[in-house]
Formats: sequence, structure tokens, C-alpha cells
Amino acid sequence: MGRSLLIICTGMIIVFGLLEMNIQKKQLQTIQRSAFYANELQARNLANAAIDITIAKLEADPAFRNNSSPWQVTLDKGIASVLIEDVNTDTLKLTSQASLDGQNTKVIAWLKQYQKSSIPNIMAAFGIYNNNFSYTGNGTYAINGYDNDNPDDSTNALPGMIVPDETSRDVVLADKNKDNIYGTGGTPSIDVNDLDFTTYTDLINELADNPLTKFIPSGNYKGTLGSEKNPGVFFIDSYVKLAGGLSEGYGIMIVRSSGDLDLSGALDINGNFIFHGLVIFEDGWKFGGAGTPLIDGAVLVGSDNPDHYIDINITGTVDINYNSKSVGYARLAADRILKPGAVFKIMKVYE
Amino acid sequence: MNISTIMSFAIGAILLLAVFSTNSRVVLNSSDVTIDQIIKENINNVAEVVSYDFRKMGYGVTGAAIVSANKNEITFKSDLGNDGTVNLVTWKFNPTQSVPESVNPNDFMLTRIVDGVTTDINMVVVKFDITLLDNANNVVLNTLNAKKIKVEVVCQGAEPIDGKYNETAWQKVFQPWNIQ
Repeated sequence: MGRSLLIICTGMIIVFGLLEMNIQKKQLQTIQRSAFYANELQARNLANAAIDITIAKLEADPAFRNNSSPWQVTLDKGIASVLIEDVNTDTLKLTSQASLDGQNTKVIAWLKQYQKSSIPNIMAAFGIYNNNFSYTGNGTYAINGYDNDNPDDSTNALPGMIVPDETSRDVVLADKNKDNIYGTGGTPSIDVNDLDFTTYTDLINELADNPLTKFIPSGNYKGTLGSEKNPGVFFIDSYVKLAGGLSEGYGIMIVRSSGDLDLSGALDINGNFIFHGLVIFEDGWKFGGAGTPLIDGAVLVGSDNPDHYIDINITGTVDINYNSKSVGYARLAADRILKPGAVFKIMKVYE
Repeated sequence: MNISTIMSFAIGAILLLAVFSTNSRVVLNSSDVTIDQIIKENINNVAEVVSYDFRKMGYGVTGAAIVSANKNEITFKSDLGNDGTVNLVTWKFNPTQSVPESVNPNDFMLTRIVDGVTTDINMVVVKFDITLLDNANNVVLNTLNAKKIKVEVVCQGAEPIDGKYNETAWQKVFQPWNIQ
């Protein structure tokens, strides 16, 4: 009996073993199908993540092309390769390929490159960023928010002035010459917005630390103040009198609290000094104008300490005109020094 | 015949019966699993083609990408082949048009139409629902406000098992880059 039983049991074990193997095989097929789907999704995620990482890399270094070879992006679950190609001057094509356990995916993204600017958007011809100030508009000054680059086109027009709150607006409205402020919204054109000068404080500090920034020496200044093709960044932190044939300046001019800008000398000679760009008064308003000086661009005054008192006293026949083209000179000058890089936006994706 | 031989036959017979019984159960289970696998295969195929099309929705299109949409039908534009030609793609599930060759009374015709060329997706589809969503996952009816598309597909077996049709569901919310 023992031998027969042993033979039968052995046969049974073999038969049940075969059955078990077949059942396992079917389960394996089901699991493989699920794994296939999961791997395909994972590979697609890898390819998309690699595109995001490449965009971050490009924003840090817009010229990065990895010598026209695919750039390997290593992620937790695998490696994706991204080829960066120039389509035209401001459009890039990224081809990201990822492979995971035999699942290959390809995602193509088209990016548009936008140049970053060091200077935030200008919101008015004259921006007062502090709420602790006094305002006196003596003489026949004018502040104009209509774009001097194209006065007939009102689409780019701004308010003449912008202040941080209604109380500040009331301070300006109390001035007898308030009707000299022109721009959108009627005369006097004064808009209210939640303004923050710290962005400009950071910009000023960055520019001040840069060796390419030109500090104007105290006293009478007879040098150049940039040109249309080569606008500059100029710092005034002591008394400066622009004199000696200076008729125009281009770029960005920063007058710090300890500085004092007096245009009367230059104006005595030329009659109409024009600065094309942005003039920022930090922590104070020390601006003496006589004759008919023109700031053609925008003017800002403020302090990173909102409680800091600023006495704004506009004297003489100073004109402050918003000019989008001149603000462009300021941007060019600041961006050339600070190199703010670029941002890339995905225009379309093929996956 | 001695007693040991008789006992061997008895035990062998019992084991043989057990094997036959197990085998019949395995066969039944196997057909169940096989049908399940076919359903999963079918729904995978549908999902693959749907995903291929929906991911590319709006690619290479200027203006509105989704032309029209309702619960069972969506028409959108996309350069499917990345060849510079914008295709008009329609996915349509007709819950009144049964599939003639199917014995399952629940499945209806799912069709994919690309530039007028119709392909019947005969995968025993019993449900194909489309829902347009905005970025906050609210259901929207205006195609211009749609930022996501939820697709729900249910497939059943072609043959019943014990009088019942096995089924498998697949659901995915697409957020195509090109309609953001």
C-alpha cells in the first residue's frame, strides 16, 4: 500500500502543482498589465518633470543648451533626457524622453522666452510710496501721466500721480496747484494703490553695490549722463549741480537721502535739461529745479520705512512726464548691470 | 486483492474525484478570469486611444480648442500627428445604437471620428461619460471655461457568466496643457 500511495500522492502533487502554476500565470498577466499602465504613467511623469527642471535651469542660465546634446535629468524613479533646441530668437523646443521598465514616453514642449526686468511696472508719472509726507507744488510745474512717447495714444496712459492711501491723496488734493497733475481719471489725476517701496529698496541696494554703477561726484558735474544707446545708472549721494552744457541724460538716476540734486546750473546754460528715464528719490526729496527741466519717464519717491517723513516741495517749472520709451532706457540700464535673466512660459505641449 | 490494494484504490479514487472537482472549478474560474482579462484588455485599449487624443487637445490650435461637448460626445481640435495640420476629433457614445454583433444587450456604439473618418470602437463599452470641469473642479457647460475633462468608461464582458456580465471601469481627469 505504501508504494502505491506514494505514487498516487506524487501524481497528485504534480497535478496540483501544474494547476497552481497556471493560476499564478494568469494572476501574473493581470499584475503585468497593471504594472505596464503604472510604468507608462510614471515614465510620462518623468518626462514632464524633466521639462519643469529644464525650465528652471534655463531661467537660471538662458543660454544653456548643453552643447546641443540631450541633457540628462536624474530623478528618483529614473532618468529623462531633454534636448533643447532654438526655434527662433525667443522660442525654444524641449524634447523630453523618459524610459521606465521598457515603457518609453516622449513629451515635446514649446517655450517662449520673456526677458525679466529689474524694474517693476511703473504705475504713474509720479509715485509717492510713503504715507508720511507733505506736498507743496509751487510754481508752474506739471505732472503728466499721458505717454509722452505717443501722446495721441491713450492706451498706455497712466495716472499723473499714485499714492499709497486715501489720506495721502487728500494731502496732495489740499495743494493749491493740484490741478497741474494730469493723466487718466481726470484732473487732478491721482490714483491710490497699495504701494510697497521695498522692491525699489532692493533694486537700489543691488545697483549701489555694482561696480558698473556711476556715482556722481559732489559739486558741479560736467560729465555725461548716458546716451540713448548706452543709458546708465547714476547715483547721487551728495550735493550735485548739473552744469556745463549738459542737456540730456538717459537711464536711471537714484538720489539718496544724503544726496541733493540741483538742476538749476545746467538749466541756466541749456534752458531745458531733459532726463530720459527713471528718477528715484530714496528717503527724501531734494530736488531743485529752475528753468524748464523735464524728467521724461517717471519719478518715484519713497522709503523702506513707511513712517519716514518726506517733505515734497516741487519748485520752479519742473515737468514730469510719463514716457514708456524712456522707462525702457531705465530698464535697459538696470538690466544690463543686474542681468535679471529670463522667464520661460510653456506655449504648447505635445505628449 | 489484499486489503492494502483495496485501500490504495479507495484513496486514489477519492483523490481523483478531488482532482476532477478542482479542475472543474479551475476551468470555471479560468473562463471568469479570461473574460475579466479580455474586459481589462478592452478598457485598456479604449483608455489608450482616449488618452492619446485627449492629452493633445488644443495642440497647435489658435482659439477655442473644444468645439462642442455634452455627456456622451465631445468634439475638439488638435494637431494629433504633430504635422502642422489641425484635426477635428470627435468621440461619440450613442446609448441608443446597440452593437449588432454583441450578445451583451448593455453595450452601445462608441465611435472616434477624425476629420470625418469614423472608427468604431467595438470594445463592449456600456458607459462613456464626459464631464467638463474648470480649474476648481466645478462642472461647467461652457466649453470656453473648461480646463479639465473627466472621462469615465465602463466595459463589460461580451458573454455572461452565471447570467451576469463582468465589468471594469476606468476614469481619468485630463488637464491638457494646451487649453489652460
